[in-house]
Amino acid sequence: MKKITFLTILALFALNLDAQTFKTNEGNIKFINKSSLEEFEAVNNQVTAAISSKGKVQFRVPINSFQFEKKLMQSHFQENYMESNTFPNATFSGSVTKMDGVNLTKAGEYNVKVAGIFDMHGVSKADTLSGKLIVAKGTVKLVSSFSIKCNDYNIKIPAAVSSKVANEIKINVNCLTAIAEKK
Amino acid sequence: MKKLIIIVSIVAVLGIIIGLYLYNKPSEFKSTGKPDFEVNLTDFTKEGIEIADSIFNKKYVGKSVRFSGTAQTIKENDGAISIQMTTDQEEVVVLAGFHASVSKEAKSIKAGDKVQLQCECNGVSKPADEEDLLSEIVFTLSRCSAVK
Repeated sequence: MKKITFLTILALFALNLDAQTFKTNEGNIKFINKSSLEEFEAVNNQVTAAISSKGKVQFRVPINSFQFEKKLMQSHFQENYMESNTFPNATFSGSVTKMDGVNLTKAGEYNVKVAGIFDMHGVSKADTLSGKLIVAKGTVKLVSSFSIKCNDYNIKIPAAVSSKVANEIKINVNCLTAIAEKK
Repeated sequence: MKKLIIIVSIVAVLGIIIGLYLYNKPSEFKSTGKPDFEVNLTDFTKEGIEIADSIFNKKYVGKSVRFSGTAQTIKENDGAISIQMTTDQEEVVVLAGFHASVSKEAKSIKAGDKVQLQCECNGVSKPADEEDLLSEIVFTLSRCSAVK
């Protein structure tokens, strides 16, 4: 009887570990524009991000939360380029390609690749991102740096500002997630 | 002729000055002035849950919204402050973001305080399906300011 109870508890524990999710609603994404004439960046501190112990990864980025230094850039970004009224969020949903060596309950840094789908400005595109998972007690920090091309997502940069706004934009991701719930 | 050249030059210089002023005008870090919508937070979230995201977002995204509510949690990230408001619906999250430059007024708000905020609405996000890790319905608001 004791053995059955022990095994049941062990199985439940294992089930819980298997389904652990780490989340944040205050993740940070920065995008950096480097063109021949101008360099500027915008910061977003309202990124929702999650990773499960099974290796599923999701991001949701409210477009209007990007904060620019210049008002004109911000309004052009929101209204003309990203059309945030119609496409208010950019999302990424994917999975860590090799989860074997990753343990979200063991402190350490893990280099990973995440294969998934970007959905932005009404366009869905498959991509594989390289990044790092930094695991500490009860938290997982998702760190990545990559580039996206505006024309891949049907984001049209008018010729008049093409010397100031680059087609390729660098994105830095830094999201500290914490244990959220067991799904 | 000389007079015309002087007038054209003055107009051109003024045009350049106005253009530069508009181009370099700094962003607004907080929502002020008369809001586009003054809402009851419960009705606002209820509307966002009940109607299609696209309709809700067309109506509110980019618009200023004034509302009252109770601060549930306050978090700081990179100098910016995020206040999660108390809602009476399960799995519904309302996030009010304050820019780092106005974080002083946000820091005076404590969990449990009743506050009136004015923010810019960034829309509602709903989980795509039951497998979605982002299982909550999230209302994101930014460039918030506390209304005196």
